Amino acid sequence: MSVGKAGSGQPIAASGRERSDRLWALLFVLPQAIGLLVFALVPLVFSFVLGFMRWDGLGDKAWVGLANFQKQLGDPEFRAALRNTIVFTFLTVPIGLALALLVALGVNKIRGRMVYRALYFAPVVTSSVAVAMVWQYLLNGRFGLINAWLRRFGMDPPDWLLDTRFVLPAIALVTIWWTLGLNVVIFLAGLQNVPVPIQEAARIDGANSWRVFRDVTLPILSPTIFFSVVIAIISSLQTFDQIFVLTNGGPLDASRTLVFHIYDLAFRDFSFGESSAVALILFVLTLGVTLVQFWGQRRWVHYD
Amino acid sequence: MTTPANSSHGMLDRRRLLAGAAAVGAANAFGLGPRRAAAQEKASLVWSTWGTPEELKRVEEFDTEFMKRHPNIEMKLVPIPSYSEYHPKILTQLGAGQGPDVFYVGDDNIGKFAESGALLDLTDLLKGPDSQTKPDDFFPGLWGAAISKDGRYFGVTNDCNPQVLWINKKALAEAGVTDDPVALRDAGKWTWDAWGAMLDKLVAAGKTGAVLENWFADTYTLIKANGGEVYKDGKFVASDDPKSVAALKFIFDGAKKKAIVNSDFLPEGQGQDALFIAGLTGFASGGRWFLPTVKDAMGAADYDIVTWPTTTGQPVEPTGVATSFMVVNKNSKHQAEAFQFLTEFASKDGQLFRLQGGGNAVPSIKGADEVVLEGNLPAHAKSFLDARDTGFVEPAEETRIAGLPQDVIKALEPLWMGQGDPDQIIKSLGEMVNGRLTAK
Repeated sequence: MSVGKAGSGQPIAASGRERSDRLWALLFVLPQAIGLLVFALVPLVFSFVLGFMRWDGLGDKAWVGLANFQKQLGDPEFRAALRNTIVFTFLTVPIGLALALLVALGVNKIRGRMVYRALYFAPVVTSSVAVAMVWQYLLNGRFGLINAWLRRFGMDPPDWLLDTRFVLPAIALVTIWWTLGLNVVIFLAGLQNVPVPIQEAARIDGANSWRVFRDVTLPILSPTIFFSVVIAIISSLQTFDQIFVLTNGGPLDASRTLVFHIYDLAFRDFSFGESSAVALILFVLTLGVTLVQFWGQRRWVHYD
Repeated sequence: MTTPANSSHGMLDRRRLLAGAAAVGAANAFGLGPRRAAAQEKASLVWSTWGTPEELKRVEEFDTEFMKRHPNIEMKLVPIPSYSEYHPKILTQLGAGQGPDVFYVGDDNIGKFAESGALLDLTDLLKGPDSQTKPDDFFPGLWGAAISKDGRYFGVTNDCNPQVLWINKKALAEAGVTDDPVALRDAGKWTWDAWGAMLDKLVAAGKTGAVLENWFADTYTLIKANGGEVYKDGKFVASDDPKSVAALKFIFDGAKKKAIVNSDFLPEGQGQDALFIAGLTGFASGGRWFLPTVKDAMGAADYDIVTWPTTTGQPVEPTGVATSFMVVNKNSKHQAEAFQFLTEFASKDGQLFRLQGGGNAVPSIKGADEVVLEGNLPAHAKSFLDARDTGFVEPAEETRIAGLPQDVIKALEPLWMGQGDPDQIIKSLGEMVNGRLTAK
């Protein structure tokens, strides 16, 4: 075996090891990379391309340029879906997160914290369809427990899922209940990182509980809140399961959301091109909202 | 046994064999004959349907019998129980080239599927010598969009379900209704006035008058029961025809005073059948699919069925019939075997086998009516047959446009809720449907 000049052999051997390590690393990453490629990237690219085509899911595809986007932007169903999605996000994210933070603060230092955590988390691990079915009974105008209870106080409650004014708040209520536990657990984890000495130092300096919360706890918790806000907004922009089971987008499109609209276009109207176009619009919307949040977080999120 | 390949005239016979094989292959390739498994090869086919566990059990029994008759064919049932998920899944499978060989298509989707090019043209097979389901064997009103505009057949009705009114006799008696709807019909007095008076009495007694459903089988049946028309010369006329408009307003008025309730608005498990069995409603619209549940929960004397009341003086006007269609995947590798299964499944014997013993549907083929009349369940089961004989399926004009049947239902939602201005709802409905028909 020929060897290079003295002193040059070692680097060559090290380089060979590095190459070997890299190959092994690639080999280990390969299954995941293939999965990502096959189940995420290829469908994503296919969906993007499909947004510019007309296709009924079975026959030939035809290039139509921006026609799908133009048609959808002028479509009352799309506009209703966009409006409902935004309203739904405004209903669920602030209320849901504020409620979760309150609960987390409430159970943070009490005995049996784990029990409460498990109780609040139970709906999160329950199937969305099962959750929706149970709430379908609770919210039913004629037989529902909620209305039966309200009637005991002489009230004339609405038919929550059949009234265009109340259907979206009703589904928002279900969603807040369903997702509360996840946010509570995230906030509880964040609260564990708030150093007690700093809070006590603030109290010694004369700060009351509110000021300790506002000026100490909240800033330290801000990265956790930011994370929860980003995830909650993305989730609410993608709401589908509850709508599909509870209302099927009705009555009169009052609960039609963007993802339900995407599903409807593809599998009811067989219009996969328009469906993909709306999916692309939703992708851009989600990306835009998330970027704005990352830009804005510099003003209120403290990592130090 | 001498075969062409090893005979003394090997070369010539081999050439003949190859030529013959090439001819068969070419015939198949050019669509001149159905694709078939090689003689010794066992054909394994997948077929799909929706249905309840009881319904699926019955079709599995048919599959078993079929495979006994045809040991060279293996049928594997891959059910998709939920109807709402059924067509999206089938569509996805077909789009990926993985669709079942034989499958059901619902009446609201048949038009679009038939026009998609994904289904095998069954015309020659249905008329051919091996067919147990000649086109003339079926009731003429049940084809709908399974026949293309140029007269080609893309599916057959495996059975059907005429929409009738189920009567809870106890609920009627509790509400002080003394007339029997069936007796009124037989006397030519089963009119909307008579029915309306019963609905009012039921509401006054704290019950729901009738639980109906917002779909073509109820809406269009009421229109026709009033002598109105829905489509004429390819145009939607129900929003202009005064008799049709009056029928739509009848629904609106009934919904407004809570005499008519749309079953879509009832929660899962509290639907038409549950309210009917509990005696909370006097009438429920439905097909024979109620029978297995109702006969187990109620005494035979407590329920019956009747055709819809009319205003025309006729005892029965054309009635909506729910159907499903059995079709063959155009890309199936075993088209001949798939058709064999289809034609036996939908044949007179096939329907008798599947629908006997209090089955959940009505034969769509002639000569099998005894399964409906057996045991007199319900007492006037013949009403199913009366309704089917004059029946109509979901209009082809609608089902050929994807999503239009659902859009019609959506447009009629406020009418069925008794909310808004009925004239405006009906006008908007007409504009929407005709707009979609023109856009196509």
